[in-house]
Amino acid sequence: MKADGNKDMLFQDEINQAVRAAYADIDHGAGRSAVDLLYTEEELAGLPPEAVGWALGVGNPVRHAELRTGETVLDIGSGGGIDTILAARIVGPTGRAIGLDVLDQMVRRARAHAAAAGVEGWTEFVRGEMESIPLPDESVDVVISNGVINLSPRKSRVLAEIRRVLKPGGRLCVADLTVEDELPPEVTANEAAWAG
Amino acid sequence: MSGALAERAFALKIQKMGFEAVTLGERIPHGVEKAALYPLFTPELIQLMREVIPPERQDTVAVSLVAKARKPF
Repeated sequence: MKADGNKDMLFQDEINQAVRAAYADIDHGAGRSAVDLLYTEEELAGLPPEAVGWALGVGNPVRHAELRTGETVLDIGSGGGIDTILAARIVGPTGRAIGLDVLDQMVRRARAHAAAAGVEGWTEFVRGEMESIPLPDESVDVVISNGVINLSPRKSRVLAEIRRVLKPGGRLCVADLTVEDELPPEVTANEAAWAG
Repeated sequence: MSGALAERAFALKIQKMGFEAVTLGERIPHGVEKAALYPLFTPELIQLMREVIPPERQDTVAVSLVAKARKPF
C-alpha cells in the first residue's frame, strides 16, 4: 500500500475522536487577522462580524468555484458559515446553499450568522459527517470545502461521497492543506496536530 | 495538518475517485506563526513546532491549495 493510503487506514476512530473533541472545545475562530489574508474587503463587506470571527479556513474556495445564479452549493465543514454565506450571495434566492458540519453547536451558530447576513431564505445548515453526507444522490451542482478534508482519516470515502451527491458534470472546488516534506514525528504524534 | 497529503497525492486521490479535469491552483504557505492564529493549534503544539521544525521551514510548514475537479457527465 502506498504511503498516502496508509494515512487513510491508521487509527481512524482515534483521529476522528481527537478532531471532534478539539473542534468542540474551541470558543472562537482564527479571527480577523487570519481572515484578512484570505478574503478581500469586498468579499467581507456586509458579513456579520461573528461569521468573520469564526472563520477557520485556509483558503478561499468560493472565489475559485465559478458559482452561478441558481446553483445548489454544498459547503463541507461549514463551521461558522462564512463560505456558505459567500456562496449563498452568489447563487441567490433561486439557488441553494447548504452547509454541512459535524457539530450541532456550529450548525446553530452558522444559522444565526446566515440570518444576520440576510441569506437564510435559501441557505440551510445540516449536521452530519463528510464521510456520510446526508443528501440525496446527484442533488448538488458544486461542492466547496475549506481546510476540512485533510482532517478526515477516510479521504477516499469523503471524495466518494462528494462524487455521489454531485450531479453529472458537477464541480468540486476545495481549499485544503498539503504537506510536501514529512513533519517531525514529535509533531505528527501530537493529537492536536490532527485537528489543526 | 498531520492528515494532510502531499500535493500530488491529493490530486491523484481526487482523480482516482472518479473525477476528471483535476487542476491545482492558488497556493498559500502556512507557517508556525500563522498556525498560531488558529485555535485548533494548541499553544503546546505551537511551542513544539517552534522547537522541532527547522528554522528554514518555519514559514512554510504546510501549503493550502485550491483543487478543482469535475464529475464526469
